[in-house]
Amino acid sequence: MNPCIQCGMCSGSCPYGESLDFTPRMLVLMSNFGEVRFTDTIWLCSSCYLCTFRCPSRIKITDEVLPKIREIALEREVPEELSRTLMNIMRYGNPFGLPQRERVGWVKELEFEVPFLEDVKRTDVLFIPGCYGSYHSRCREVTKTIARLFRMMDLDFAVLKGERCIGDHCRLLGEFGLFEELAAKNVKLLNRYEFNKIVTPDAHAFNSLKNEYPKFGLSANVLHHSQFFAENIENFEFDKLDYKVTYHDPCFIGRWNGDFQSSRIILERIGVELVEMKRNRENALCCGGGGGGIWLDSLVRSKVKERLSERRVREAYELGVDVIVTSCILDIPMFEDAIKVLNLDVRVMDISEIMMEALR
Amino acid sequence: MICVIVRAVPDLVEGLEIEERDVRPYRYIANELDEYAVEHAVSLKEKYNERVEVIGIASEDAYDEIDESLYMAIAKGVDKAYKVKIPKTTSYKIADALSDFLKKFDIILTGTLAVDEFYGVLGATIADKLDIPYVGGVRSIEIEGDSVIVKKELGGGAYLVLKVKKPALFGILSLEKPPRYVPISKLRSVMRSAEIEELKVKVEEDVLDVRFLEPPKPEVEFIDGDPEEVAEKLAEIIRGLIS
Repeated sequence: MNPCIQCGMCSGSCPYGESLDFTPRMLVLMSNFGEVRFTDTIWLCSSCYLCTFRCPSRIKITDEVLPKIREIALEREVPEELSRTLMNIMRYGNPFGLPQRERVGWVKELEFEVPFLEDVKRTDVLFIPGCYGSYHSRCREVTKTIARLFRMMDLDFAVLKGERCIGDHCRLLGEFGLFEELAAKNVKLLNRYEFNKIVTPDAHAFNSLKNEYPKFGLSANVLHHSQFFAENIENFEFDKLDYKVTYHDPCFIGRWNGDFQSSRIILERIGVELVEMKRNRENALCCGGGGGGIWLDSLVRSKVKERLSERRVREAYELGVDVIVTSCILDIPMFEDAIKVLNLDVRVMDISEIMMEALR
Repeated sequence: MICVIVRAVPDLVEGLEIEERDVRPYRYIANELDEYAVEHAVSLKEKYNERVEVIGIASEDAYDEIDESLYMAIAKGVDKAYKVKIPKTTSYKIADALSDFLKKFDIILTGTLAVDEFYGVLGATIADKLDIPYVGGVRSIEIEGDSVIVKKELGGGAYLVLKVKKPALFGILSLEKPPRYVPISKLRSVMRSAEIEELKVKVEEDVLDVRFLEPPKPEVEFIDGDPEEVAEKLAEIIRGLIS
């Protein structure tokens, strides 16, 4: 039984709280009495961890209470966009339903060669771009930028042809079986080769690789790309960029894994003018992409007045910034779509992209 | 009793190898419209308590790959699954081979067409063989006594309502609600407990002549420049085409 005191901090914190038929407080209460009731607003949670982070009783709402209800919901009625995505992950190992051989297609778009770990067997840094970084056309640009920065550092790095979806969204969606299969397959593949660390630009993949994969037998030093570049910042000489920027703390890097500094260290080094949004660091507003949110655009639209991504870019825009900098790869399509919807004039850049721009 | 026919077809996501006299897929998958037929059958089971069986048909190289879809059908609520090995042949010979097995069912469902050939004749051919009615392009089915009421899509948002006497065969084109999702843990437990019965039928080979005729390569010109320049050049080309 959860030591819930029914204070309602979770429901008050939830950015979609007002749109939920059953708030987190009610869900925790019901789960304590073994009762399962839900409607399709159960799919609204974008796993931002605000409720969990603020819960005085430290109940694992995002990681345990909600996914367990979603596990039951999965067997009843699942939104079509979600069921197709999960089927794609099951069949093809990525949410887009694209062939596995396309995963490393971005490598061919570079002006140099990136070795495959399957061929070289050992490397210093294993680069895991994740599904979005590998397949999504905009996110691929980030992946290529990171590879170019690695190259400038003369880094010994490699990628995996056989990488599959890391599965963090599946876990948070309550599709535990699928997550376990993906994790087991990925760990089996990773354990075949030698590397010193894993670097990934996907905050969700980072979270799973760091916190969940050890349960499946992975013992690796996992770094987010912002952490890796902050550690190696001395390798780069930047020209000062005349930009006014704001930094969006990704939930899975900031609030959930406690790193608010890495990206800010890089931005300070580049010398841009950094202004903070009202909700920053541990109080940052989620982009709405986590926990499967990125695949539930139509459902979210039908339930809420304004998507989280739209609220967030408006918050940034009101500061009068030129660029919204982020370090989670999912934020880029989330925010760029929201900017199109709201017809705003502001750029979204990954931390690696602003680094690259300052280098020229 | 309801039977659904599910056929293994090339998985177009994984691609194909096209040779002069053969098409070799990298992987097989159940035909999507056949899986829709399974959805309709399971809905009928839930609504009218009908027994539902499914028969998977696959060529030699797709024989193992059809299993996943059949187990998935069982996990969704299908009562029994069969599978049968069919050599590369025509729909007519498949109809010949299956008609004996299909005799005992009063509603037979399958996809209106399959992604590999787009003939859309398997359902109609089997119906002809069994001497029962066939309706293709179906999107909803209801049972009323010894008849079945189906909605057939006509295109442009219009549809036709037909009352058909059982037994009958229907070709499914679309779904009224999204397909059910089977969590992988449920699928794996069905794979451990359920069994697929292998059906032995005699299938005659038929003349199947595949030839790849490479289409002539079109002349492609890439227009570079900023959008205004490109638009200007493009407009000039279009002007040349219409004058």
